[in-house]
Amino acid sequence: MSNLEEIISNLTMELRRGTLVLCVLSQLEKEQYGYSLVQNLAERGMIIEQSTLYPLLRRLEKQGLLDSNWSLDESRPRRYYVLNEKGRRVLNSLIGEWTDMNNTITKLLETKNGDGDNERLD
Amino acid sequence: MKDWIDRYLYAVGQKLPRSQREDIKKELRSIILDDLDERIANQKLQKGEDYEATEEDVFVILESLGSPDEVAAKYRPNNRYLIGPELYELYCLLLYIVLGAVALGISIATTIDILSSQGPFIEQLFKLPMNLISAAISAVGSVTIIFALIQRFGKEESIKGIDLNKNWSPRNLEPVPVAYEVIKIPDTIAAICFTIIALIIFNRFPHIIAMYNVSEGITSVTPIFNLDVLAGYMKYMNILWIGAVLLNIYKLKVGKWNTVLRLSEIVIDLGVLIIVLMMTGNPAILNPSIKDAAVGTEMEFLMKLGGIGTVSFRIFIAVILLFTVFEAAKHIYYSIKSH
Repeated sequence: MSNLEEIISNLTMELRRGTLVLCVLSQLEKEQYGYSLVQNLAERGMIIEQSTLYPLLRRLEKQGLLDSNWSLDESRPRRYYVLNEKGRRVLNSLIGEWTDMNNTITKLLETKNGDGDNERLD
Repeated sequence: MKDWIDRYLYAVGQKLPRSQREDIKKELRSIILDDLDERIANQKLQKGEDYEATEEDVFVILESLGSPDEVAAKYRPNNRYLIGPELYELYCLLLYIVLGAVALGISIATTIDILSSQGPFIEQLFKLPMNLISAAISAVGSVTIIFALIQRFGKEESIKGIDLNKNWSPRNLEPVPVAYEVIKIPDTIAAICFTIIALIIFNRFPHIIAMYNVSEGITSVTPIFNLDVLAGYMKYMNILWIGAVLLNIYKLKVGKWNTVLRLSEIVIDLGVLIIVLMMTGNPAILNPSIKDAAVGTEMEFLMKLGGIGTVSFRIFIAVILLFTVFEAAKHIYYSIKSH
């Protein structure tokens, strides 16, 4: 991989990393188990490595944003995760932050050098 | 086929904290089996209903999850540091303090040890760097181990509480020192080293300052100084040299010249100059047999060159005198300028 591609790929990864929690929380209004959550995110265009997602779910649970329980009704035991009250509050704040940030960045990207003359970037 | 999953989960489990091991393994197993179901369903769509799952299917799933090390690493808390960023500043600070204290302590202890013990000069002198190196290694090692233990077992919140910059305020910023106010660290360290070496040689081994004359395979050593007369001057010289070492250590600590430092420097320089002048003005300082020893050797010219009262000797004195006066004048000038 060339140096330029490597830099771009690292920066892209960092950009994505910050948004992961928001993406995951947004899909957990209804309870989901690991595999169904991966599918759900992938269908909407958010590809997350499984080995990243599962530890993240556990971390969010440890922080008290998610509840989890083992469901024994099905053919095999599965761990289901769902937003709890605290998680929902956090999700709402994050959505607000995301919207603001998105607006700000969109405006920034529309102007060159941020000098106010709205010349579009290529 | 199940055996490969067991092996994989076992390998992951080995790298996980014991308290969460079984729970994470149970979850991973259900995930792997879900993946496998999905893959087999797909294979059946492509290759017909009677497709049987193979080891290869399991391998594909496990490979997509990643190596056991990678997977386990992602489950562990993020702060996998020997010494984390919260502790690093404090660690560096303590390292400097401890190293400085150890270097000072060992230098003093070894100097006293050399001064009070018997034995060949070179062997004795080698003690200092050797002692310094081994003491420095064990000091760095113990500070590092202590910090690693705090990092490993300390509570996350209490580690975050140790922040050196917490009470920072721009009001406490030091003014930028002007170039001539900055004390040069390498010069100062060199001065400390040379002064300590001079202390050791002139007190403990003055006889090695000698004329070494090799004739017919036999080396004859004739000390240049009359050791008894020299010892008389050394009493005063030692006070000045020890003062100079302490002053230089203090300079390292302060890092910036101030009037008191400059005055102390001038006093010591002048003191040394006076003693050197007194020594050179006293013909008894030389070993009486040095002239006899030099006669008839290639060193003979040295006696003419160095003889007290000769022109070359006066030039030598004048150079020392000028140099000391120049240094003193420089300090006085800068001292006035900075006010």
